[in-house]
Amino acid sequence: MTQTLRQIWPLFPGLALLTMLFALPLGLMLPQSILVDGELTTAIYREVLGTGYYWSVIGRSFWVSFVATATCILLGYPLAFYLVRVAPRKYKRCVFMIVIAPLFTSAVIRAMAWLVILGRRGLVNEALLAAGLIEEPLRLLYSQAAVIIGLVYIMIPFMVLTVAAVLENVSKTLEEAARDLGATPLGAFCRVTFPLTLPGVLAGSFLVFALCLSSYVTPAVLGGGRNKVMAMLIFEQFMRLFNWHLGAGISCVMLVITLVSIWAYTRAIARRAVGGEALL
Amino acid sequence: MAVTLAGRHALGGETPRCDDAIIKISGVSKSFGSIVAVDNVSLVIRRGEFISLLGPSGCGKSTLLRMIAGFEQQDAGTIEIDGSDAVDVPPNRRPVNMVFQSYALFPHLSVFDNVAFGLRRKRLPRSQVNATVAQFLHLVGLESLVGRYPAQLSGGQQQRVALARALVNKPKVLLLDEPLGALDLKLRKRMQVELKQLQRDVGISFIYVTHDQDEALALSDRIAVMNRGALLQHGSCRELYDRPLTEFVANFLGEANIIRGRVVESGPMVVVDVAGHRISVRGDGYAAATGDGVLLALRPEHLTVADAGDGRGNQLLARVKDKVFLGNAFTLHVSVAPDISLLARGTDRELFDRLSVGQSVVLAWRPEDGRLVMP
Repeated sequence: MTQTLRQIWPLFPGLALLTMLFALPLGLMLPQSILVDGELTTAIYREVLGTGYYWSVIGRSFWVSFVATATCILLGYPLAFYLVRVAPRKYKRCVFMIVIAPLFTSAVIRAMAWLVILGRRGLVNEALLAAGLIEEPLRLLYSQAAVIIGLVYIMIPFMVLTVAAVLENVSKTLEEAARDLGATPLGAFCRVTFPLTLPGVLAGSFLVFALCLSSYVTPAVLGGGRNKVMAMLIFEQFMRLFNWHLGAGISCVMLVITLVSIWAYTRAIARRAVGGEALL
Repeated sequence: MAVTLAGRHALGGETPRCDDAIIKISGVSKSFGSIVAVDNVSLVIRRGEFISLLGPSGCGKSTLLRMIAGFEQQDAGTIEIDGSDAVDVPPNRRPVNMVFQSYALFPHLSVFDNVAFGLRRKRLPRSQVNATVAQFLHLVGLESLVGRYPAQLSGGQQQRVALARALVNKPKVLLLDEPLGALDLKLRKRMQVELKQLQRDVGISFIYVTHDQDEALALSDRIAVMNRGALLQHGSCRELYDRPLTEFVANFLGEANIIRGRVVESGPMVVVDVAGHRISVRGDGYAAATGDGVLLALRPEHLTVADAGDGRGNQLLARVKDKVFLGNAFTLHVSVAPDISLLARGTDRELFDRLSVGQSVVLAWRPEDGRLVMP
């Protein structure tokens, strides 16, 4: 008995933290979704799952997260490739700093910066007007596109770092072997390098997707009132409308959806057996 | 490994050991920044031969191999592969294939897909790919492992997959970059035998890079010795061992005593003064004028302890410093002068027992066993 205790006691601080900061608040909040005025009821869930408005918010959250993640892959992978394979050694650290620098600033400030860039009298519009390409400023802000742009900007460092970490472990000799065997440089990349970095791409995608799905600041600042995402909805219910029951209900739905996504993701990468061994 | 005929049939049955050249390296140089990696190397690789590029780490042998493969571009000189200049030909279009030191097997592909990789790049019909892959896996003895992945294979098995993967493309020359370095000694010795047999079976030229002189001697028809980017000497194993041109070659291939002397008489037989003794050595085209300082190379096994008056040719008076019993042989450390120490090797047990440390002995060897070498 003491042997087991000795083995598991290092877990206690972590468990305590997890309980206090995660399990306990969840445990206190979630019952609110089925307990109204002391009575068990499914009214909350019937409202959440039955109202088209809430589904549209959930749908928008997923769509925005999906597009942002896909864009992060398209833009982040080349950046990671440049960082690891192309950049001359003396510039690598500099490029690396540039990539992660945004992480050091608050999300609020980063989102606000896009207000300056995308606004009616922002950088983009001023440039286009000056170049004579448009006659009137474009309405770029307070749209789904603006939210996606903001999210991509904030999430790209995560994608770049995860892909770069995996790419560094792919030996350049493998590319040489592929070329020696008759592949063009592009062929070597498509058939050897890229498949080997797929775990990194998947890990980065998952991280970015999860962060986008739960993001609050960027959609709040750049989306305007009309483009609500789940996090905004929950905040609104709790903090402005003081409807804790509905907030709890939406939170629970969001939690379940997220857990299902995690499960699907882990199934997907577990099946991707590299070298006959599961990655996890 | 498999039947001899299988290999020859696999590669179309070319007659080996023709003397025409398959690769001509002329005046090739390559520098990385201020470091000269390859310095004006010229070498002809013949069809069907097993040739080793032998030298210490950093001598340029791997760089030269990579230039033949197309991964590096030479700064000067030409490389001709089968008659045509390879200067603008990228690695994927050169008729050569390489076995890398780390094998570089694709971890995400099975053994079959690894071996089939080159054939699939050529867009050959599936039936042909399957048949050829099976043929070469049989050649290296790995038919039973087709579905495995590289991580599930032993070092020796990975090595064979790398060989099959390269040979399946029917290259004109196979390049091997220290392929046995990662294996343990026993496995290495076994793979050496198999490798040599494989080369005989398939009949194409193998260019083998190694720093291990025993390996080079065991495998090669010819050896090219390199040091600090320069090609010092190339020729058959016997030629390099019996007639080294430089001190480095004499020392690198086997052991050698290097003795300093001064020429007293030049001619077809050169007479050299070594610590007061007159030593004859064959001129063999070495330009030695009277008064020149020269280096004499002598293999330990050519030195014997003579009884006085034994007319064996060259003789040196020496004092025994140490005698070491090695089981089937012994070595003798002797001192001729304060700055001249020699190593002798022999198998005569009775002689070994007779000798004692501090004893004066007469060392003798035949004049034709010594060689003048360049520093």
